[in-house]
Amino acid sequence: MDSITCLTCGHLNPPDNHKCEICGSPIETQDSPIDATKSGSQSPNPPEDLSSPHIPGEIHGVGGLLGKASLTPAQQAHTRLLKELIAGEGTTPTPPGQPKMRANNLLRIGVGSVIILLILISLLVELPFFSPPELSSETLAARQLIYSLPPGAPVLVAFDYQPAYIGEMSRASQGILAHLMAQQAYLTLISTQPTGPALAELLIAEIGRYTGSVYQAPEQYQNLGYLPGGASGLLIFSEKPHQMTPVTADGEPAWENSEVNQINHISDFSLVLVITDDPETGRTWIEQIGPKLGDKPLVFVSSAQAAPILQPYYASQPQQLQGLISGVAGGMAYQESALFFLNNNQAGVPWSTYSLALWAGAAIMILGVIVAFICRMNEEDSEPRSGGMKP
Amino acid sequence: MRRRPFSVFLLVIAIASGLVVLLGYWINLPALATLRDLFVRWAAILAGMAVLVGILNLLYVHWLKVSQPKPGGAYSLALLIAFVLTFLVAIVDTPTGSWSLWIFRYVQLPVEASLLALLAITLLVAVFRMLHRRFDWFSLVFIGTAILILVGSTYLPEVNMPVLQSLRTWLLQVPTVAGARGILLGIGIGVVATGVRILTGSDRPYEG
Amino acid sequence: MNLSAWLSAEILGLGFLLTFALLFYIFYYWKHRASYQKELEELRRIDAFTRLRKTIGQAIENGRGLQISIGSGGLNGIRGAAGLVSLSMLLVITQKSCKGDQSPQVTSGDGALASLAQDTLHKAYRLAAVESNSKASQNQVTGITPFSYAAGAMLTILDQPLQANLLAGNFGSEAGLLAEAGERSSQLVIAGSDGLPAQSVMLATADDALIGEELFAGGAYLSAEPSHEASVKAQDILRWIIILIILAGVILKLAGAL
Repeated sequence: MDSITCLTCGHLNPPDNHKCEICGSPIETQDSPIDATKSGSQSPNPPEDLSSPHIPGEIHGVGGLLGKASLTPAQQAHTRLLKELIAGEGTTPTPPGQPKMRANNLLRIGVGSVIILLILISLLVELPFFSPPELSSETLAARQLIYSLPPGAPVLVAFDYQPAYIGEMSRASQGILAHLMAQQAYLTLISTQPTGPALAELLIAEIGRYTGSVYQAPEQYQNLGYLPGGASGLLIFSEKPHQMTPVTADGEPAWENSEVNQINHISDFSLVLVITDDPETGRTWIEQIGPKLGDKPLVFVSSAQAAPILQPYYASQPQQLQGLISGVAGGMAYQESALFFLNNNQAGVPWSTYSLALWAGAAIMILGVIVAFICRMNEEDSEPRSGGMKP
Repeated sequence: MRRRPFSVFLLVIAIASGLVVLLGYWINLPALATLRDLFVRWAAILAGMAVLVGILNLLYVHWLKVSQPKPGGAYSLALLIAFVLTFLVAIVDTPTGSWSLWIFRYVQLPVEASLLALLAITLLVAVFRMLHRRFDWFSLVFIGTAILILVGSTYLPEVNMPVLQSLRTWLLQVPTVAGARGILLGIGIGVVATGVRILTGSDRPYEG
Repeated sequence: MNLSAWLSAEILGLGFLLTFALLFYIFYYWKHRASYQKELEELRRIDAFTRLRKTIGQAIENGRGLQISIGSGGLNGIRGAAGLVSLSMLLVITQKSCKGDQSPQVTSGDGALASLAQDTLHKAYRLAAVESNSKASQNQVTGITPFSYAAGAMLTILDQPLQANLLAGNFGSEAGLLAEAGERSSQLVIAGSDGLPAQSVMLATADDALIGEELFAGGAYLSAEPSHEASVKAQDILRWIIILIILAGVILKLAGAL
């Protein structure tokens, strides 16, 4: 017998096939009508009645127009195909199942758990195998400057860091602030950030608890509050501090104490100390305010991320920065060399915990490289590529 | 394109103010210096007011979420209540009073510090993603440098690591500073370019 | 020869400023008559901007929005420049996407910047003649401190059906949180900042990062208006001048003249 041509896709099928091998449509020949029972449709009578109610929408409308048209088997097959296509539109396919938790989330939880666990363990168990950091030349220079201050010397302290960096910056700055308080310097606190005044008050109070001698306002310090305008505000303050900040953060009159009532220019301060986490803020102080200080020293306490940008100002000739304490390491080194200021107390996370967390971070990164390398090797084994890593 | 008269007025103000402040730094004229100082003082005052504008915008957006039913409306309501409470406490107790500092110390500080801690975890996870996205020499050098900086920051007495620490110090003081300076110079040029475009009226962000 | 005393910071600064202004005007009037496409082809390829231009079209086709974070640096000092550049980019992006189903969302961490962003959005809608599409809730200050701003912007990224996120402006390390939020929502993240810590974080977390001064070329790459492109060309020339001055300084220093 001859092969049978599928009227839907045109494929040549064996003569005894009832369904097409390719498209699955019921096979009928040009000469024979569709066998409705084999195709599974409802009881039709050839020729198929297009006006029958089970044909939806436009087909029904078209059928109504055509009335009881006589269709060839090919047309009937196409009609059936169209009906199947339209029937599928009413149902929403079920999307493939999503994993309950993405791999990235698992990784995030895993890494976070490891770091937190290590930190907790190191807080409970003393880890003696991390030495305290060494004192760098810029930190030593800062310490010597503080030593040279006479009692009652007016010192401007700028708290220009974000609250998020409280952990690092308080650790970095408590040594030098405690030293200033031990030298009985008169502190004038200011900030170019709205949250700075609150940070200043908290840190002064905390150091007071650790040293045992709490600094009191306005006898020993004044908090001038928030200085708006960034560089613009700093410029005006440097030239006319009384005009720019006539009252303290609490609304009390500022500049009343004998140590500060003669200050009419920023160069009248004995020393300016800036505590910042941001390299741009540091550059603004050094480049805009630094030239106005004359021969008065400018000392920075910076976060580790800002130190590489600020360090050249210390190393430059002439020096634009006279002292630099950078990050937790710098603050720890300062504290170790002048620990008696804090009565042997150290606020914040111990150095060993900090060091362990750094090593854990490094280990996780190394693990990441190894995992990526293994995955890449597996990919290359399954699909050979030309060439090695991208340049 | 014809400019609206008000736009021309804004343009004149912007250019004039900028030029006065700029020339005030180079030309030593008392009148110009006085005008310059006045404009700079106005800028500082406006910057302070900008903080208030930002807070009002924040409140307005969250008020919309509460008044018109939107997802997350409950969180917006919590924000508004927290704002009112904190504001009242600061008014009564002053911004550096004990109650204000209590809110700052036990609410804001832990939240912000936690976000920074989250960032640390995020950056560690980003290493994996970075290597998955591009496994090349650039990524390896990037990560290798990060590992070296981390490890070189600590001091193990039982393990003598002068090479690591010297390498770290050299890395920080030579290539890092050089690269940073180069980028900062480029950024400085970009800043000058932006300023010149504003001063010449090519860019007019104030034109609504 | 005591060059150091002669070349004070003020003189050098004035010299650079005048040099740039001169180059800017030369390029501006020279290129003013050139066609848009021809000029765009002359700029070197920056993948981030190529991808951004494609993404704007995809967002409109998909009926999804764009989130544009313009940072928290304000307008004062050196940080203000990055904010102003982001406003230039915002104008172009909004003009192109404002007729889509979803309006672009703008987040910032500074009141002054937010005010200018509002003006920019209004101008974009006016130029596109669809002022009625403008909504006040499009523009948000999500926080006053950098990390609180990031926390608020993260919610916008996570809650809304977005095609992509553009972080362009003055950012700190908190940009990493925004990029991460975009990645968790399977959204494209293109990021650029003038801050060095932010650039290093963006390089690790964003899909495409703008390094160095590439952010300041944003206006030219998105719109190729004569002034922006003239500015980019003038920056390139000035960069070469600075390189030559540095080299000359090194040689003079080694020779003992400085």
